[in-house]
Amino acid sequence: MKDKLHVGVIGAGRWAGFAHLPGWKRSPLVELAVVCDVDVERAKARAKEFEVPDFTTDYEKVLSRTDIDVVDIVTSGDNHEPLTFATLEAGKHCLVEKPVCHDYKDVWRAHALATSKKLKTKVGLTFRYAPAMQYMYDLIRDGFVGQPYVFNGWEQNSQWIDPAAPSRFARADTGDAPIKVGSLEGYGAPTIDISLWLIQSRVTSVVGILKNFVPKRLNPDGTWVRTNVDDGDIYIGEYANGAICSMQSSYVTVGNYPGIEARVFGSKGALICRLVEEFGECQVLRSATPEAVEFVQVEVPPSYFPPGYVKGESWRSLFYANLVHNFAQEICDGGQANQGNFAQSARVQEIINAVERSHRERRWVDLPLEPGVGD
Amino acid sequence: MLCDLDRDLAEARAQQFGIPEIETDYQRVLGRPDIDVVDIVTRGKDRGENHQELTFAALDAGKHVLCEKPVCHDYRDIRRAHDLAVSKNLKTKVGLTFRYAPAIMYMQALIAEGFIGKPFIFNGFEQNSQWIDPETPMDKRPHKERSEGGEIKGYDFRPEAIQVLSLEGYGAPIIDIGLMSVGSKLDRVIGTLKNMLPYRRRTNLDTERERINVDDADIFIGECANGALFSVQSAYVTVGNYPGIEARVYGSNGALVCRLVEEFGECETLHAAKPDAVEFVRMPIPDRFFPPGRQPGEPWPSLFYGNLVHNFMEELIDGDGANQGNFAQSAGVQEVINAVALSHRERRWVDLPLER
Repeated sequence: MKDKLHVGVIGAGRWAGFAHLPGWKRSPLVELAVVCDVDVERAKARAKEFEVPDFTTDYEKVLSRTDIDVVDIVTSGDNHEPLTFATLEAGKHCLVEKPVCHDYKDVWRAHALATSKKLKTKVGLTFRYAPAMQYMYDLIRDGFVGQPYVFNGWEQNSQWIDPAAPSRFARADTGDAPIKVGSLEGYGAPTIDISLWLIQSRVTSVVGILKNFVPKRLNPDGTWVRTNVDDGDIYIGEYANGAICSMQSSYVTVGNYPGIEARVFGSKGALICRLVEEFGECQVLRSATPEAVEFVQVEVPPSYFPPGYVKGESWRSLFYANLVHNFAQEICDGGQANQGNFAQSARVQEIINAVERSHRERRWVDLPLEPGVGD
Repeated sequence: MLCDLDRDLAEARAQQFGIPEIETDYQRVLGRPDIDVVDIVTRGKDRGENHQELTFAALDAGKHVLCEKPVCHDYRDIRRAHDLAVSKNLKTKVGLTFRYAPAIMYMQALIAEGFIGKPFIFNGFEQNSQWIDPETPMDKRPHKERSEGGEIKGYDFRPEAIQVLSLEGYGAPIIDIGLMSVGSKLDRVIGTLKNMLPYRRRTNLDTERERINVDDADIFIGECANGALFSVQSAYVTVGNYPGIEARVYGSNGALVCRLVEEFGECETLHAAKPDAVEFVRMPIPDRFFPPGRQPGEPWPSLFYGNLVHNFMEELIDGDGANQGNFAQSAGVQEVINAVALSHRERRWVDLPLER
């Protein structure tokens, strides 16, 4: 194994600038090789900003470079699926922003392809990599909560609460078409991931509701359009191990980013992790036990923080730095470890697909959705 | 006057609170023309099983009634009691304690003033860990001898036959707060009732644990007539302190989160955020929401109940139509509980109102 992984980043937009590029930059295991964007100016500017030696507008040029080990797909368009398959075909380890594909079965296909080529994968399930969340997982694994009974998850923000909020792109008029999945996929995914990861059990049934609270929105050209998209949703679920869960996502509920909360109640204790930037703090972990029922704050040990951690650092760079460094470690170590990979993302996407079906058919939907698909 | 089947208990309590008279026969209480209000706070041999009988008797005797929940297990019986009270110009109140917490009263005042705008989502919790230890008997009262029957059965072990317990015992006040917060009825609900600790002793007299299929944790979701989403979770096996209430409401113009959990000497907090100030800040609760004779650091049971009974007295003395948290509201809450239980048994969405 060479001493450093060479990484190519496809997509140089805001999230790449906030999270991905600074994350790669600070991992001692990584060297950034190239930035790719369809907008040449943006690619050039990002390359300069992060001192990346090369930039391009053609992703094929990234994939064909033999010195590149890892490709990071952080495009904003609806092209994650073709880029992911192309990256894996080119024999690169792959990090991709969610959703990898809209249908969970396609995510499983991508996982199978990666496995067949001995490639590791990772999905931008950012919030499991928050230091507080990683510590919460370890506490649960070590028995702090005992047998899990209840999981409650939220991922909320208010970025589209104003119907006239300026949008960078024009929205299509949905007319009277049935509600489209929006928040559940865009914001629900990382907390659904956490709900599976912390409880360590499959979800066997779900039922939920997708809602459109803000029915009309203002387009950049000044026209109002009907936007029947899920901007708030709740579902409940049952796990194979007997636990139950609730999960809520929304982008029209007042609160700060990233707006994540995960609660686990079990036979021996309870843990609550809140990732909400408030007054300079972006993560808080609290615990209680049957003998000490008043929740107290738990300090997150320094080992859970990424290289180059600065106190008071924004969650945008902090959590992602853990994610990419963890991926680089998994690849360099060469073992089996590969948390938050395509298999996990496929399980998350299957739940999203099941909740959507439960909404459309107004009933409990059992999982797996199709026997023989997945693990 | 104070009435209890146990004369010694009645005597001790009367002395403790300076009440001039005691009685063991409730009929004598109801027969006294000088009594205006009857407060039913029996536990009963079988956990509250005499609330219904006592309530109807008190109303028949022409008394205003305060009754602990559940008034009746079937929402239709509560509605009958409400109709009886209305026909006799009597006011009623149910022990929906937590709507009278100063922080909740302030939250409701803010909602009424438009603080949150149009309500989008309500999330409610009522949780505690009083039965998290499987050694804790189902019936926690110390028994000297074995009694017949008992309300907690749970002999049918099928998941769909689970006996409703936490949802009714702990869910009711938070459902009440939810309905009040969104200002709308629920159109449909679906939920799951779980028995997380299947084996425990029935009473302190039992040496062996047995399978008792009761709901010790539950979650339901619902849709309101005004379009709001609604979720409620209740449990008595989830770690946390009393009273374990949390009410969150998110709307088009703001969000409010009220927590009634005794932690480090505080029993209530209210936090608020607005679209242009998204970090939640603590809201001081104005003095007008506290009951007469309030002591700093007062425990929540007397603080919240102090507000409840004082509010009832004000409603009776004012003589106008105001009567919050009455039997009609309780019937609405009980109807939601009955609907959630049905949704669990039949594993489907249940529309409200249930058949009348």
